[in-house]
Amino acid sequence: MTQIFQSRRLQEYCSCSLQSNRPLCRLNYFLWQVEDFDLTLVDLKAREHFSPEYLAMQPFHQVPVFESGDFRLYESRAIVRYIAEKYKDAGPNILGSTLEEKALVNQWVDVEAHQFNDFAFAPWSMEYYLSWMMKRPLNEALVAPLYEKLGYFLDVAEKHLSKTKYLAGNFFSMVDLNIAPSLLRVSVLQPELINDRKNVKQWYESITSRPAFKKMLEVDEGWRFPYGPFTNEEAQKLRTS
Amino acid sequence: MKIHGMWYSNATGRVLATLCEKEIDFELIPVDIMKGDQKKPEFLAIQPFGQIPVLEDGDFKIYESRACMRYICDKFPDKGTKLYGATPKDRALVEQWLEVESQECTGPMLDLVNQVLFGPLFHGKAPDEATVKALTEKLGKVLDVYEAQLSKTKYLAGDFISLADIAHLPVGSYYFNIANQHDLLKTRKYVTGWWQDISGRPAWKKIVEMATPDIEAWKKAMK
Repeated sequence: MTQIFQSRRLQEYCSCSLQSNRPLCRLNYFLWQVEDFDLTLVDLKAREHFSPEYLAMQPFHQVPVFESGDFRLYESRAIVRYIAEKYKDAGPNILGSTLEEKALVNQWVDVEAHQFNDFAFAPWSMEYYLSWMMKRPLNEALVAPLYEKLGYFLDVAEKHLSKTKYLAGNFFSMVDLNIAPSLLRVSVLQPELINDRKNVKQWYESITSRPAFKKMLEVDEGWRFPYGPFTNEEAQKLRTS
Repeated sequence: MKIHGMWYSNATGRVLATLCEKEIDFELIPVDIMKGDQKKPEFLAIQPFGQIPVLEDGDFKIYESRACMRYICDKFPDKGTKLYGATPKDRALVEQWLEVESQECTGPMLDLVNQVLFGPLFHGKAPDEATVKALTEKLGKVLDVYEAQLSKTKYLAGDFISLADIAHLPVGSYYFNIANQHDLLKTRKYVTGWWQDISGRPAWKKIVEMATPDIEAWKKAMK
C-alpha cells in the first residue's frame, strides 16, 4: 500500500507556498486516478517532522515523503516524476513524449522552481501569510520588488502562451500541474497579475478547471475559499474578509 | 552541440561536466557575463531570464542547467558514463538528490562563496563574520545528512555515480578548492572521500583546466 506523509491544515500553509501544500495537490492529481494510497498527516505545528522517526525518513525534516513497500522517496518534484513515469500510459503524459518535449518540460519545471517560486512567489506569499498571522501590516518594501519579479515571469509566460496552449507545449505537463496551486494563491492576493494578461488568464482557467484539480479542492476542507477565477473586486473582498 | 556560457560559470559547468562525462563533443560560445552580455536583447530573445547556459542542438534550444543535463542523458543514455542509474527507482533517487542539491546545498554554499571569495575579489567587500558563521552552520547540517548517506552508499543516489553528484562540482569547486574552505570536511570523512572522488574525475579536471585562465585573469585584474 502506498503511503504519503503530508502536513495537515493546508489552508494555513498554502499561503506560504511551502512544498507541503503543492505536493499534495500534485500527487493527488495522479494517485486518485491510478492507485489507492494512505495519507498520513504530519503535524508540523507539533514539530512532528523533527521527531527521530520522521527524520529517519526525511533527514531535511520536510514533507512530503512517499513510501511504497521498501521504497521511500522525498522531494515533491522527484516524487511527481516517479509517479508520472510509472503511470505514463494511464493518463496524460505530463513528462512529455518525445526527447524534445521532455526537455522543454524539464526546462519549464526548473523555470517555475527558480524564477517563479524561489525568487518571487515563495517569499512574496510568505510575507502575506506572516502579516496575516502576526496581525501586522504588509512590508511593502519587501513585496514590491517581488511583485515586479512575478510580473516579469508572467510577462514571459504571456508571450510564450501566445504560441502554445500550455507552458511546455500544446500538452498539459508537470509544470502546469506544479504551478496551478500557487497561481490560485496569486489569484486571491493580487488577481490583476493573472486577469490583466489575456493568455495567462486563459491558461490559468484551463489548468484550474481540470477535474482532478477541482476534486483536490473539494475533498480538502483546508481550502476555505472558492477557487476562482476572480475578478479584482471579488479578490479584494476575500482579502479583507 | 553548442553551449552558450562560460567555462567558469557554475550553471554552465554542470552542463559541461555532463557532456565531458558522456564524451559528447561540443563548442562553447562565450557569453561574457562580466560584461553583461546575458542581459542584451539578442540573448534575452533566447533566454528571457538573462541567464547562462543555453544548450543548442541543431534547431533545438533549451535552458536551465539541470534540464540541459537531463536532455544530454536522455539523448545519449548509453554513451560514456551512465548518469541515471539502471532502474526507474534508481532514477527516482537521482532526481531526489538533484532536488536536494538544488534546494538545500547549492544555496548556502554559493552564498558562502560570495561572502568569502567573490565579495572580496569583485567588490572589495570583506566577509561578514556573523553571516559566514550562520551559513556555515546551515551548510554543516546539510553535509551531516550527506555524511549519513555516504556512509551507506558510495555516491548520493546509490553505489553509482549520477547527475546528482555531478551537479555539485562547480559550486563545490569554488567553495572547497578555490576558496579553500575545508573546515566542514575535517569532521566528515565520507563527504571528504566523496568530494575527492568526484572532483578528481578526468572529465571535471578538464573543465577546471579550461576555466583556470579566466579565474587567474580576474585575480590579476583585482590586484
